[in-house]
Amino acid sequence: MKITFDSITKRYGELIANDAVTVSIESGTIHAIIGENGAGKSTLVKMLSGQVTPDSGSIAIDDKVIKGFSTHSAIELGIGLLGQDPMDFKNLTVMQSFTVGHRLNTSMMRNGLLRQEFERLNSVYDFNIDPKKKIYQLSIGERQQVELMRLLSNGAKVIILDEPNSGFSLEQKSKVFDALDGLTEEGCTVILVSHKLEDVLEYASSVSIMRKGTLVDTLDLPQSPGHLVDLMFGGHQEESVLQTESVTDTQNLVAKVQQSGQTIDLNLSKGMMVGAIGLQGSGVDTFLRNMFYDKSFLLTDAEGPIDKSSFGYVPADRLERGLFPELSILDHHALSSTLGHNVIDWTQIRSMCEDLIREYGIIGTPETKAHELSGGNQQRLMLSMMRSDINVAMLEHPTRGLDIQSADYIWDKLLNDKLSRTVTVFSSYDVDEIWNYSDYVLCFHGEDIVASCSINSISKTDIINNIAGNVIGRDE
Amino acid sequence: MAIVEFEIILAAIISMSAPLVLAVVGETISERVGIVNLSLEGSLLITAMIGFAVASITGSVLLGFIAAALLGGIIALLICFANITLYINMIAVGFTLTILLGKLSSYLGQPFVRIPGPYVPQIEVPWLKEIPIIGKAVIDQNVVVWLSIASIIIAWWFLYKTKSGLVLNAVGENPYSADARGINVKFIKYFYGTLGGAIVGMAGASFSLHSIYGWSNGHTLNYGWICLAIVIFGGWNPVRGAIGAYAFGGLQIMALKLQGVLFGLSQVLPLIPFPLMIMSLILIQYSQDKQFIPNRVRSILFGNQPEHLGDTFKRG
Repeated sequence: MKITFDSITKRYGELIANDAVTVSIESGTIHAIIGENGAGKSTLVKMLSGQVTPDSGSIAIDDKVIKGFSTHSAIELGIGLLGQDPMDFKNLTVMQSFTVGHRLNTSMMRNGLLRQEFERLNSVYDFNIDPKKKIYQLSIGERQQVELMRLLSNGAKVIILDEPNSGFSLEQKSKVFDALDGLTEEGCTVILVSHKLEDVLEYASSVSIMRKGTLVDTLDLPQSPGHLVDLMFGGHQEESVLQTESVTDTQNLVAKVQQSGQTIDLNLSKGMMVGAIGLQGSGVDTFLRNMFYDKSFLLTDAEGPIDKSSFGYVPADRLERGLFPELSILDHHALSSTLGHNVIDWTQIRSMCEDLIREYGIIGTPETKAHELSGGNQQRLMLSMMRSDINVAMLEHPTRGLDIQSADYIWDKLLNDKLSRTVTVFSSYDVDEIWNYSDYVLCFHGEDIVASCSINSISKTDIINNIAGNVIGRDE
Repeated sequence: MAIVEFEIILAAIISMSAPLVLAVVGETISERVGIVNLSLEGSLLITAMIGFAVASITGSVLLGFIAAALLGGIIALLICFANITLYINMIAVGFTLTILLGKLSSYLGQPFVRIPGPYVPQIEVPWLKEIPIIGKAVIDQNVVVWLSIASIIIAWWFLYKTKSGLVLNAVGENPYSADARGINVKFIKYFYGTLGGAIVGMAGASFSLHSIYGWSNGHTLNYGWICLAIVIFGGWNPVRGAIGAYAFGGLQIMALKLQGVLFGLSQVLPLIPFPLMIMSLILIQYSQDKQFIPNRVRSILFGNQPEHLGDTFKRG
């Protein structure tokens, strides 16, 4: 199906998410929409899936203007959205979640029709998901696979992928894109919203670039990555220079880490950046959380144990644990800065808040609510809230779902601040991030820490072998 | 002799718990879809009053029940409208309503206080009532008791065995996911929220027309609050909720029966459910945090709270 967005505009308060956006997407293609965080990509596609109503403008399918989009009518039209977070039900089983809202809606569940349908898709796409499991027992990637099967089973002709890849393992990703490739040959249209240029260049045949709510250009691929990056960031992309000098100061710092029954001593130095890496689903998922909340982490310097009150924790699920979705940026800064004084000096907070918005490049006003910010801006907000007297910074997947520029910004900031802190700990699934930014590395396989050493005494291949549990590879 | 005594007590428990069971089932259905009908106490009072009043005036018990069900439905509809359409906090609305309706029942019910009136008649079922235990306890009762038992089975079957029940659960679990699947979330919430209220209305009428004949101020003995606790205690499962209701009803009956034997203690007996409920809620929470009960056992024993219970659903 051919899809045309015609001068779509959408505002959230003072924020213009989409400003007269016009895009045309050809049938039977994988069309990518790229742009930095907050460029308005998600907002645009959510109008096609009926979750967001445009203020003005229209959407046409096969040159027929569709009026009054709702999620229901979008499904009738064969439009399926695979969101950043899977839209499922944690306490239901996979099969139940697959069934809810299914078009083969019979009042009785006794028939095995849906079960057969699930098993068929499961084997066609080689996903291997157990329908009896509860949703909360699956990884994000598996949940997305269930969602994809559900969309296809409901007769989706247009599949929108709204940055779902952050949760996919490499194997899952290739399986999913194999499935999508096959579908375009059957005439399906795939819209891939992403900030990962590699994915776009590898899978898409055309691309629309968005910047600050407007459409910059629509191009056929392939294009040079540099050109696309220029268009995404308006040509002002500065090559960020990241310091990678490692810390050699030998101030005695001993960390005791307890993980799944083992106790490991880490010999760290002040100002070090410690990276924890593992595959998704391994102990690395909850490592930092446990460190922060439990007594599984003890840090001692020459003067004795370091007090937990100077620990700062930035969780991965920004809206669930990190921020208050309904509170504004101003409220967040008031919360984080007036601890100790009970009466809030709003004028002072406002000026401080405006400074921080500028300093951290947050796209929003002091009144913007946290849930209205894009992922990258939420991350910036969390960093901007970290008090300056934090000695031990713990960041869970600090660049999860961020575009290159936002991610670079975050790393710049962390590397800048690391020397003024006792230690900075972060977790990641990305070997390159660990390799580029950490001074000390912890490798997880399953629930265990299988290697912990200075980054200088391990190779990138060894890290990969360790987290894959491939110890033989290390010996070779 | 002992068997006869036991049969009588069991029959009394099942009969007396009927309004509680209906209220618990109704509230469970509402809460499963995400709507907390906190007006339960007030709803029971006003529907008990209206049910009795209508039955007295028209002489028809059936009309009394219909009026009570309608009123219960309207009250729940009001809460739904406030929350689903106007985005007002349903807890605040429910709480205000419970006080308002309680006072209103006293005011409007003045002419009906302690006057004799109609009640649900016992129905004679030949030979079936001769079956040991069940005959007395279940068969030799009236329509209200049968209805309360049927409501447990139907609610359980509907919630766990039908596609519509699954949709109901899904909306309470995560209305946003349900919305993304083209389910009319607002309609579903309105529908089951109101249906739950109508069942609560019938529970109210069965107080005044079945378990405690007639009308007096505060006629429902604060059982509305108890039912709210039983719904949680029952893990939002109608069968477990009903067991809780029978247990509570049982202790009330035991207290009456043992009055002569236990003297002071018989006054304590009806109070046992309250600390018991608090203890079990603590146990549920504690087991969740500490995992000392395996998750599997826990989910069988306690069940999960609908994830978006009491939340206001609002699209972006």
